[in-house]
Amino acid sequence: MQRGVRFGKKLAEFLEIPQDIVLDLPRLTMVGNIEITLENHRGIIEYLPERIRLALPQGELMVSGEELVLVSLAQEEVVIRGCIKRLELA
Amino acid sequence: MLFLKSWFWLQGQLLIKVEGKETERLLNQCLSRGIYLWDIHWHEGILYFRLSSRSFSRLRPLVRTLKVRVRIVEKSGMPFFLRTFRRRRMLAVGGVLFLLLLYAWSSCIWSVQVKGVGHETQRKELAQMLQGRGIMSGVLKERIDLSAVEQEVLVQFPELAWARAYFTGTRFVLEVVPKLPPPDLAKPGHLVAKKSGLVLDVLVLTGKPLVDKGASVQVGDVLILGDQGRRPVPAKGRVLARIWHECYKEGEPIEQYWVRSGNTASSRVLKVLAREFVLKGVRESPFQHFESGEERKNILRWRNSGGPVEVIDKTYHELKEVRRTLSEKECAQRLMDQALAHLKQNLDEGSKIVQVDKKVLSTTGDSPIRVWVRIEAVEDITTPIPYYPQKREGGTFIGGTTGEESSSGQQ
Repeated sequence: MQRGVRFGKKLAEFLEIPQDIVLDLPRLTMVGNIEITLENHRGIIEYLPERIRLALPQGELMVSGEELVLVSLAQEEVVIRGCIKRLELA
Repeated sequence: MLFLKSWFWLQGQLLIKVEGKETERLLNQCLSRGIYLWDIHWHEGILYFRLSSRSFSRLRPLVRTLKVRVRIVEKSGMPFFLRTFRRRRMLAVGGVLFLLLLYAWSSCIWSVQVKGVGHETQRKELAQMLQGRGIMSGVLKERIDLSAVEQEVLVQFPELAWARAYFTGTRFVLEVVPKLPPPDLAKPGHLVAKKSGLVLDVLVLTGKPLVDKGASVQVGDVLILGDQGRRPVPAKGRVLARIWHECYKEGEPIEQYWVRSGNTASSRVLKVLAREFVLKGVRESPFQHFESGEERKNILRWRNSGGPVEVIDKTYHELKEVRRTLSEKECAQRLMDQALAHLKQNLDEGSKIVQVDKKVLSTTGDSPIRVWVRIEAVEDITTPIPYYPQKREGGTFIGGTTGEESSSGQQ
């Protein structure tokens, strides 16, 4: 792990600040298997009805499922709805 | 989300169809330029999304740099809605006219209702009075002084205790409450027998019982005397008696009924106001014996009343007589059931059947078949009559149902 990241993590733990803010990490919220809200993303890599790949600050998130719909696409957050079957972080 | 959606509806929103390979790049470009997109979905291999109509001008230059083609599929929202009015001015005029008429007509009364009236004649009188005062359909509500109507109703109809007039929507309602009839001041009287029978039970509430359990009474006999300590009182009580009712019936052991033969004829009639025009089918029933069914269809239906134009589908079914010979036993049973039903019909309410005797009078082979049914019922046989003094002091004999007063001066 990088030094800056390590320091940031310690600082966040010490000050009890949410880590995603300090470390610039994505925040993922799921509602059952029907909805995913992803905050702090970096854009869309691939969009198909059965697969969505989203760029993250580090790496990417792959959502697989059926009839996936991007309900809302904004700079801060993406909302995906549909029948979600698999999540993969790479 | 709802707030956002309604905001975009006010701005006007577009449904865009995207064709081409670089769809993801288009989405990313929109994202980085701050063009908000929503409802992005694939449908039959084509990508669709929505965006506000203001952002569309910013989407244009993006599209040119990418290998995609966009097309507006649907425009919705306020600006587009208003645009239709700009082109169709009469539609807007019609809308305004509609609202004006609705307002004008809703300030009139369209029906008059009278509530809480005891009998029909009074209702008619009240309705007439209201009409006389100018309260009828088509009159402006403002012209009606409700409290004056209430006052006048109470003055003109002294038998009413309370009146209230009000509007519910376009209906004028007059609610009245009639005065209660003065309490029925009980007059002194006796209770006499209305049927002959054998007394089973005597219950006296006021008065002096003149019959005992087991006594045989005839019609008109005084059962409970309206006397209490030599003071005339209204006699009250209940005298249960056993009463026998008989019934005789005879009948042929043949059953006759009608069934549908399967032949039908139909016609379609157009009824305009009171005139009927046969559109199709037969004019009259071609059968001698028939039953008919009607199905009415209202064209121009208005509320619950049948409209002025009606289409009536009539169907005639031919009927066929069927005669069946019943067995003697079955016939007798039916006759007995009929007789029993007849007897039960004549019983007073609250009476109880204790015993039923049935007998077939005819011998086998006889025609018609004759039956006899007797029931024994327990009934309350009291009926009140007006008071008249006893003939003799302390005597039990009263006799007669006439209310003639014998002169008390003789005593």
